[in-house]
Amino acid sequence: MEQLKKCKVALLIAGVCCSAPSIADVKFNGFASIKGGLTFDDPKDRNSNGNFDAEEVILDGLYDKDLSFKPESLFALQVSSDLGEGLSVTAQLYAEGRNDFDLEARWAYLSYDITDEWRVNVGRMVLPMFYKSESEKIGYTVIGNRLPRSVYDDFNFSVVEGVRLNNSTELGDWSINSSFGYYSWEGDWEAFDSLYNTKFDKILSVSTEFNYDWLTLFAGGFITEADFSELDNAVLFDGPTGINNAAASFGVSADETARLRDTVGLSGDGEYYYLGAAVDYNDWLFTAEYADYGIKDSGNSFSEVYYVMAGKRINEYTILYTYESFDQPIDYSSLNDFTPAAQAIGKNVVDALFDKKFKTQTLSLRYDFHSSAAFKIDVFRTKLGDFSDNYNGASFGIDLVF
Amino acid sequence: MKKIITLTASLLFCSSVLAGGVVIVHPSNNANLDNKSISKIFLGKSKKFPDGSDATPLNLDSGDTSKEFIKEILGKSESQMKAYWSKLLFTGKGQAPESLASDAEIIARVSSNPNMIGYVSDGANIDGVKVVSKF
Repeated sequence: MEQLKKCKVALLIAGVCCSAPSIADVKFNGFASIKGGLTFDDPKDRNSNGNFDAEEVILDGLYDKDLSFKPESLFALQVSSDLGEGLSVTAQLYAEGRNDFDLEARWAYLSYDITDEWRVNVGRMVLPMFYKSESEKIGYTVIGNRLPRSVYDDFNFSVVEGVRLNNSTELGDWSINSSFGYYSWEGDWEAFDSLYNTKFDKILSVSTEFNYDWLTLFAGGFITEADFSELDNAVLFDGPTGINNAAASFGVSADETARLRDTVGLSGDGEYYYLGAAVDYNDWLFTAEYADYGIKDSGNSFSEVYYVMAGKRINEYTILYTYESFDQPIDYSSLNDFTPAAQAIGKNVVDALFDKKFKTQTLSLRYDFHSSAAFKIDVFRTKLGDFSDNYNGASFGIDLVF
Repeated sequence: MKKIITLTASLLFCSSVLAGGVVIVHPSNNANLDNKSISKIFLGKSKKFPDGSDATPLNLDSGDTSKEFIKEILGKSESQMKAYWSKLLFTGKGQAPESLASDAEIIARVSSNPNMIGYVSDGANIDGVKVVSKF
């Protein structure tokens, strides 16, 4: 599978180069990040249901007390060719330390300018899940060393295939940029130390950004049909501790068991929304973003996440404070119509799946020591769930574009 | 001797501060261009001049004049501009204007195409183009 992916990438590069009228029309650009990080405290595994790992939450399971430079270092090379008359082709090849620097195409699309205002992209793209999702990996465009993990959690379905219409319009002093997309995603979902084939079909996405000089207002979202049937069947339904066995031993009827599977299984209609505002006024910076997402009629309750950041640019230096919050409260309301035995089984499944809550404060310093490179350092403190313990850590690195 | 050093230092200081320039268009371009509309064109927010004709901006390669233009007309620093265009370039939403190496190249392109708009340093020979703004 991995070899196939690499072959496709090689063919894609060959396609970009060969289809170009001449080598002079092919442009190469890129970005890179060399980042290191560590935690100062030993994260403890503890939660009301013993199911989540502090280390996982704080640094996405990437770092521990030993300084490491691998997980978030990355390199990307973009090859693009303008074929004339509004048609162009672009491929962005990407290698990240956390994936052992395996090369993959993060973007690979044909683009056609229908008019000055409308452009259509067809191919492989990054889903505009939240405000900064598309540029999440371009460290240089991020003020601090890392984006708030509560919102930007490196979702594995972030790279999708489909078609997108981009629109840019002027309305008085405002410029409005919007995108409308239809995509699909299929890949492996890691759960309980195994991989399960998963599909997000019929992803309908809208994102829009209103910009007036120093003020930007943004909002967007997408809906999708999330198909976790392989994971649902293997773990939640048919596994030794699955619903089917439990229901049979508690005497729950076949009909109610089927209804319970529909209710707590992970498959369902996914809904993801975000909105917020950003200010860049006289070198004072402010951004706030709120997002709410989850899969309806599933054991996966909705997550409410937000961050607020404020900072000041002083010549080549920028200092930034970020407060972020992640909350995925357990919600049993979908089990109200079940018998007590079925409810008990359903609650066990919901409890076992998710219950994550944390708040993090981060202080970032950025130094633009070169017109194409910046050094950054973040120090952060995370408060986990309802516990009083704080977990501290730091990450730092150099981001550059070329 | 001390005076000479002081004088040299102040000249150096002046030369680094006075790196202004002018924004130029084709002589036939009668669009009413203020700094706000120039900024929109150079930031890719507008692809047309205020009179509705197509606008193609040309950048001058990194240097004092370029820095001053970005600061005075676009209200940003070089790093901010780099981040701005990186975000658009690597997400398929646009790319920075073409960049040329010298004043002479900018003037040659602008003087031969009514859709072009560029900027050059103060001392450049601007025969054949029209100045629409100074910075």
